[in-house]
Amino acid sequence: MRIGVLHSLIRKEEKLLLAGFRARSVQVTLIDDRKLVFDLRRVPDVDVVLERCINHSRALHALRLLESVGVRCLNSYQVAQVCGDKILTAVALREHGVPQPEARVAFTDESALQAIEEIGYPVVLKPAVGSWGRLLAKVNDREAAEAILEHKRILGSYHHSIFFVQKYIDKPGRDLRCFVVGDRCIAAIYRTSPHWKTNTALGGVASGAPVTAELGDLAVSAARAVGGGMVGVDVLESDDGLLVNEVNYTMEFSNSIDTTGVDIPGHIVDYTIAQAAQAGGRAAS
Amino acid sequence: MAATCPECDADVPLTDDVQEAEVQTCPECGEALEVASVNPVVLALAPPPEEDWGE
Repeated sequence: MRIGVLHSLIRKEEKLLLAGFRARSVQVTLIDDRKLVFDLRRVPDVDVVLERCINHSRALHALRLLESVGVRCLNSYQVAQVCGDKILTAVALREHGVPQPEARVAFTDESALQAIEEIGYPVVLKPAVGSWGRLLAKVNDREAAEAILEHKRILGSYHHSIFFVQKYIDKPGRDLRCFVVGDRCIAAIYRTSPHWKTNTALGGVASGAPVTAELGDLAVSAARAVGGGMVGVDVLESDDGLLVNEVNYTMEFSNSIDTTGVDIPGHIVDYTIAQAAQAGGRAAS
Repeated sequence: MAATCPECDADVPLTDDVQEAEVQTCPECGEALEVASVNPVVLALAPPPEEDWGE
């Protein structure tokens, strides 16, 4: 069984994963994406790669390159592509009938303003690609909308003129992060914050949340919609029931182990080993 | 085990299983650091966050 871990910086999460492999006496090959020189013709000496890059663009290309030479990647290129782009995520969720906040996509200031007013204030304006709550704007009125749209167009790169507009959900001071591994939601946390952005990267406080049948089913449905694997599903509690907000493909979990009592890295390691055993078996046969 | 913070010269305590590319935080100045090498252990400033960083 040959497992590679594709990484850049080794954070708490990667350290816990490496400890998990060590505890199971499984050796892994560390692949630092900053040192990687990919020969399109050469097959790396691994059956499976666990992707833990911090840069989305590097992860996306590295996964495609690895899959092109027959390496099974966790998560797959397809999952990274869909989850890394909020618009593609919204499309996948809709195609699979997974409930999500009402949304619009537009490509100019004028059409974005129209999209915002079709939904009605307040809305959340999001870059298609981005994480940790960065560059999200809650737009409360037309004056703010006009100013933000103009700033994005003039000051941002072309990426920032792809406007993803979501209805603002008046959540109860918290949202949910569900951890899905394979076909199971193994744990969930509340992320509580007085700010409308509840990302723990911005100071949202994690606490354990029960994985009810409804929540677990929704999280697994969202994971399947984006292609399966190991993902963090963000869920909003709304007057219309639970809604899937985003799906993350290189999930962070270091603050969710003690709070849930679930060995999240252990589950990821076991899933990776099982996938590697399957991939190794296929390669040998 | 400890290594020197490249920002403020403080000692940064390290565990025995320290490894290359690992992120550390200086207890004195709070700077984010990266383990540049392990034998001997050398710390460098961690790269600043980029636009596509995330999960």
